[in-house]
Amino acid sequence: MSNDFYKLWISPYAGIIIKICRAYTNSQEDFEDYYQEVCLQIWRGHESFQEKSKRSTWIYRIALNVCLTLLKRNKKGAQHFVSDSIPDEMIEDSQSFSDEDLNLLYKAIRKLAEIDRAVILLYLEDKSYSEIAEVIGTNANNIGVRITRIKERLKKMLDGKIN
Amino acid sequence: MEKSIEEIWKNGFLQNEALVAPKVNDLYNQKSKNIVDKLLQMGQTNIYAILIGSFIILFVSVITGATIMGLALFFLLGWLVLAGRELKKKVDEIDKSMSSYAYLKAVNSWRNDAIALYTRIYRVFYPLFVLSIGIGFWFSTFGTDLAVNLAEKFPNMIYILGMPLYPLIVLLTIAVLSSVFAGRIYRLDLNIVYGNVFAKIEELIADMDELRS
Repeated sequence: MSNDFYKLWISPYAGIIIKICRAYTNSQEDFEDYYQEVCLQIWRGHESFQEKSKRSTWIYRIALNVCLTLLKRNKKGAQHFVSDSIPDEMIEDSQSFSDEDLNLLYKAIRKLAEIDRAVILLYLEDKSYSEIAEVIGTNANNIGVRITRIKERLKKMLDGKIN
Repeated sequence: MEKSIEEIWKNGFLQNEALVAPKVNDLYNQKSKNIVDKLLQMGQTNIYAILIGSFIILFVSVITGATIMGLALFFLLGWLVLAGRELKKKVDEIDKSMSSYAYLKAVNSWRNDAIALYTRIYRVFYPLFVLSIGIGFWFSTFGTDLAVNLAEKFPNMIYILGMPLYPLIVLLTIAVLSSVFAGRIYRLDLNIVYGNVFAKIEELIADMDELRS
């Protein structure tokens, strides 16, 4: 049964879960914790999933909710660094990908506001505006403008090699 | 930077190692804890519900003139609450620092003991419950009115200990049957309330057994 669960609910979406968790964590340890918590929450909720939305949309939403919740909890605990305030050299995970450009892009994404990170991740995963809006719980009308603004900000950071 | 962010994203994830999922080795620990917490929480809620219910039954029965029935049911339900409390103490004694597999096994063994204990309790509880309602009703205000009417209609009716023979036979038959089928009735009730959680515990243990083999 657990094999079935992994096959149906985790494996097909592991990529996006990893990408989302990476964007909200600064260390490998945090990343593994977040990934694990997302899997746990999917496992907890998968039986009550009612097919009202696409399975992928539901999973993105869970992944984002878990990441945002854990981030908030870490902020409250004040024992963990928050990515917005952490100096670049202290981000352990800054070299988590072999592709240097991707590492830089992630570094820039981590500097965005929490919801903006979700928006850009979903955009980069080729999700439609309406699906992005559904996942983050907003109106699809302003998603396009928001994405343009986020992309401009990312570009600026990448051109100046972050900061 | 010449590449667009879309290109960086797509090219960066072309390499398979970029998307290696971490091992979820602690997932079973969390799952176990989650399931056991849920089971214990449900058990606790159940005990509180029985406790509150017993007081409500006592109160309602006293004001409606069925004090004997109310008291009998109150003590019977109190018995369940006490048994539940004892079982809770036992599960609390299980060492939580052991491995999730050992912990889950211990909780499962406690669960089997609890089911066995409750099955024995219900063999006595159900018939006493039936008798409490039947006899309690007969000696209540409503029952006394009914007794007067019956005595007028059936003056030759045989009474045993103040109760008419035939209704008493029916009542005793139901009581005996409820005792005989106590195990089945209890399991049915158990499956409705806890079936899902029990299935998950068994599933987890099976998964862990598989992983260990």
